[in-house]
Amino acid sequence: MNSSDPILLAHDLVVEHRRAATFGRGEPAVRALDGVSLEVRRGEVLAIVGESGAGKSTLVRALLALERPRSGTVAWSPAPERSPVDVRTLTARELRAARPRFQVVFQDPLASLDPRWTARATLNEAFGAGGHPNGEAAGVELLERVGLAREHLGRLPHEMSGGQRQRLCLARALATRPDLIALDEPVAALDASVQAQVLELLVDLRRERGLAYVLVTHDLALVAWLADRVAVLDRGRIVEQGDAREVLSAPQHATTRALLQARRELVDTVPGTTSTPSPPRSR
Amino acid sequence: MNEPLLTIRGLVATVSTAFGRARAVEGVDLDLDRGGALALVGESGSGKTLTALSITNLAPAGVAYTGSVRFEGVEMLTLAERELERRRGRAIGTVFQDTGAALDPLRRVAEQIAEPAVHHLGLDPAVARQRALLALERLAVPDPARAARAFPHELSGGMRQRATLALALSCSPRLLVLDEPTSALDPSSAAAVLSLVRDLRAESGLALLLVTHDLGLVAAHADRVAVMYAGRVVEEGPARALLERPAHPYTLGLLRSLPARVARGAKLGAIPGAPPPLDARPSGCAFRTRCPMARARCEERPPLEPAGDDRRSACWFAREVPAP
Repeated sequence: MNSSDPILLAHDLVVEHRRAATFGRGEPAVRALDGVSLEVRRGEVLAIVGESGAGKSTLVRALLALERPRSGTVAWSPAPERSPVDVRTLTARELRAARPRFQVVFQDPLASLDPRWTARATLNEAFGAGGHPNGEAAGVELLERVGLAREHLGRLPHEMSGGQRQRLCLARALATRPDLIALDEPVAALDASVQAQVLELLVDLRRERGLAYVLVTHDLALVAWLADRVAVLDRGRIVEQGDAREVLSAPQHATTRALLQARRELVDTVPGTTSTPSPPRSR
Repeated sequence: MNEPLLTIRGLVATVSTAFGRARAVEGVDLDLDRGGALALVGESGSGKTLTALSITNLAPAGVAYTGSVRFEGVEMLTLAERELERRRGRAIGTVFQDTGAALDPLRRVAEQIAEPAVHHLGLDPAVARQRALLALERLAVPDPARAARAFPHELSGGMRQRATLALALSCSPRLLVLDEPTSALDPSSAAAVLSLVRDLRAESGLALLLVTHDLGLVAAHADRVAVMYAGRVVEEGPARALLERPAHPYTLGLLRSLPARVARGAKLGAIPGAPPPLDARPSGCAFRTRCPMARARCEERPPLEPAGDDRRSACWFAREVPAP
């Protein structure tokens, strides 16, 4: 299996959300995803962009098999070195074994950490039943890898800063040795000076572990900086998908152009900032 | 009239913490001219929001202000509540980050936007509702008639933010305070909100105080910038000059942190560490523990002093700050 092999596939995915019935009237279901097909290859960063309500978060949930599609398939590579298979054909045991390899980190670390759990408890739970065979050393090693230290093991979420909490969420995601981490606006809730630190950590971790990311963000500059490919979502459909450099410099679809235009209006004349994200150069 | 619209001098905000009283804002001086646009940039805990709240003297419980905040020549910090009330929503419109909080969940949107015009300006309710509809239309709200009849929860976050802006603008204020107007919005909604504000400023001489953590926004939407760190203004000046050639290492660090400025995958100039909590601000220059340029002299607090053309910096080494 080489680096261009897909580790996650979606084919013609349709997800519908039933609206709450009001006074006994069943409302028609809303189509949150409408025929989405994509793939994520080993070690690649796929960005998903689109306006609020376009279906970005639903897509992430569906890709992680946290949402049952009405039709279509999600396929995971169930173990390293194996081609993706439809998650619905996996046995419960196989799904349990595969799940830790597809992780997610959300925008608000405070909302995704248990307020009563120390970092030690959070990591132990991630290591799985019985903790890690190396015990505490494994936890400390992970904390140090994300820029925290042994002293943070005993801390509760509210005893850490926003940046430290997000680092802990990353450490928790890394604990299961994932192949892919879905990052849902991973730095949007962090202070400006701390955002850059977490972004650099994401780049370093990817390089050293061959991680793939599915990056959900509003920030097209971040897409240009981090992503290999980008999928533009509009009302549940992918309207444009391709090489990040090409899509951002020569958008083909009106939705993509509107997103780029909105960005220009927001940040037009920052000196040294190109209003269209600069065509990414290769590393 | 030469007096600025807004003059803040020696503003101190004292807050109660678990460790006793602490000064969240430690002596801020700012001016905003009529029709001007000032961006107040800072991270969480920098004191930017408490500084903005002082203008209408809307301190949250446990916060006490001292110093001076003069709006159109009137001292706001000692003004009677009744007089303050007359200015809030009329001379000064405010939009906070939390888009829901300003709207009453049980009343229709148009009715709420119309209310200040009825209350402060004595407009006929039907006329005021008509104006509310026009305001929503100008804010590029799709199907404005439907949005006007809606209850707040029936609108998306972006539409609620636009309704809140329409409410803040309903009495044609002289000053609009926008506190983190875009952080809860997607870029399309944020662009609609900020370009409307820009048009209004051009037409009506509305002044803007834009409170934000996003340095990327300020060049397009403010003509002056004040950067706050740990309760103080560390740098202030014309937006373009300040962004092209910062005179404080903190501003430089913020600029170098923006992914938009570097090639794909290239190193960002991340600032090490995190903003200090209120009870652990370093003595002297509060930024020195994170600053690559810090030297022994920084243990003494640098005053905010002129640093070239129409600019001020609170750094002993302002002239040595490199280009971003």
